[in-house]
Amino acid sequence: MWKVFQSPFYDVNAQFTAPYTAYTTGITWRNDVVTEDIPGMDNPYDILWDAKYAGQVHLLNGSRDTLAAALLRMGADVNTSDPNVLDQAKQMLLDGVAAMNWKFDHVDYSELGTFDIHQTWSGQVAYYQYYLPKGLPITAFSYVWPPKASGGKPGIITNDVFAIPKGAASPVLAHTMIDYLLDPSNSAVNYAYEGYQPPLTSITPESILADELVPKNLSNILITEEDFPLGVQELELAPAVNQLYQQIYQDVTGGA
Amino acid sequence: MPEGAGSGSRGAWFPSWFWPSFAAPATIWLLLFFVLPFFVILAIAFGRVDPIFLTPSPVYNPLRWDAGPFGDVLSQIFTSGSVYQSDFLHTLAFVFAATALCLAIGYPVAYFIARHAGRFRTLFLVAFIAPFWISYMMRMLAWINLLQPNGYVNRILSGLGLANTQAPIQWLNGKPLTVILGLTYGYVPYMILPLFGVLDRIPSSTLEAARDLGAGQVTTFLRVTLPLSGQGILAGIVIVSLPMFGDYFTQTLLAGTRNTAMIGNLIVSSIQSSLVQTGASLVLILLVLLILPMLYYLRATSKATELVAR
Repeated sequence: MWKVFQSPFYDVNAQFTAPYTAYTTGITWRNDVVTEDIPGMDNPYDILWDAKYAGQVHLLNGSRDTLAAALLRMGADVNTSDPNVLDQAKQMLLDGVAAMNWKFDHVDYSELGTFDIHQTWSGQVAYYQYYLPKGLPITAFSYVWPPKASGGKPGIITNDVFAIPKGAASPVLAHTMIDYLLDPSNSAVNYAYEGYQPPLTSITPESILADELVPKNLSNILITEEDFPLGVQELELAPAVNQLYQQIYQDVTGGA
Repeated sequence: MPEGAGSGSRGAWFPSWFWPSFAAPATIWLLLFFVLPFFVILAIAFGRVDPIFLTPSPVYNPLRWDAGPFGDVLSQIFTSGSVYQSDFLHTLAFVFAATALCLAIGYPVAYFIARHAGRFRTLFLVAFIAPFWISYMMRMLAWINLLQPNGYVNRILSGLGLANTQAPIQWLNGKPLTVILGLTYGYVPYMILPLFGVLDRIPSSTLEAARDLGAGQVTTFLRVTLPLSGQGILAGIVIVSLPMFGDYFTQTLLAGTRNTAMIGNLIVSSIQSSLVQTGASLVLILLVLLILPMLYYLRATSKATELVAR
């Protein structure tokens, strides 16, 4: 297990949780359509607002991720509770909705030919290769995580966890299942199905590429332990702030 | 025979409550699965919100209901530029267009099956109702494949010279037309059935009489068939349009943008977040909006029944 999860900030000494997968939130684009050098841009998030691609840009459909696109573009904290900052982010998103007609989704694999640029999680990009429309090669897609781009802009990195509820009917079985899924060989098989990277030291970007689980042109969806200090993590918000995020998300998307 | 008793066949005696008791299962069902849940929605919409967790706290005593949050949502609908207003307007426009299309497509189909299908009537009816056999979700998912940039719709249009293969039409990127066509496809079988039922019951002798009196085919249709099928048209419109108002799935799958979001999307989005009270208020507002055409339909049906009884 990566050292960063042996005593994470949210569960000191890992008493209650075990990590499941780690992933980043970045930008995917069709390199056969988009001419801009997105990794070379000062602010890669600007491409999500580029009117040249109006109607062809998708954002993730969640209050945190959608607002994060604007907050990160502004260089603001993705966990901010400052109403002025959130108001600016809301206005930026409303302007973007009007100009770009963004589609809000995350089930991209059924619509891989419908966007030129997409705010994506690194894990979902891993299984694009299994859902390509005819005539569209996987080499047509590229991914960037802004902290690793030349502008060094912030980007989200986060992880899922396993946890067993206090009143679980079969806690022993649950533990057994967690052990099974975190076993390196089983984890590798699960990764091949799921696309979200397990934080195990035995499963490295090199081994994943060697096993051809991820195409070489998408190698930068792969994460190492050293990436965590580069990114920002989405933290739990106070209920009132969380509701504000949800209200802004609803105002921006109309529920779409 | 005892007073107040009813008689069955061959003089059998039943108590007065016997026949009305047959309505009991449906009444209980309605109470449990409509009235009670509806009351819970009212309790949430007019209730409180937990001050710490912001989760809804239903208030079941109507005397303690607070109409403030409901009023806020209602006023948003009449506020220009608000997302509530835009979603309501989208919904009205899409439902109107899709219902009209359902009628335009469904009426000729029902007419053909009822009056001209002959011995193949049952086969045609089964064929046109076959989409019912597949869930609504699967039918909409199928449309995603058909509407992809390199899907069959674009390929056919390119073959006809109506689309450019180099710049295919992006049907799935927030086009209102796609949502309208999706709704039409999903609900047109519900239009065909009531229309077929009404058109099938028009006696041939009535139509023959019209022609005997000198009316041509078009006149017979316009002055006899169409008016007699009025109740079927009304029933079809109600059956088709009412569920469309609450539809959210079609827009989510086939469009997914703010420009096409419907009121159903807003309700789902509210209920799946901490804005549950807003969602409950929107459900009530939508219900009131839909009661009006329903009342009109009931009144029209009742008047038609009275006319027939005379």
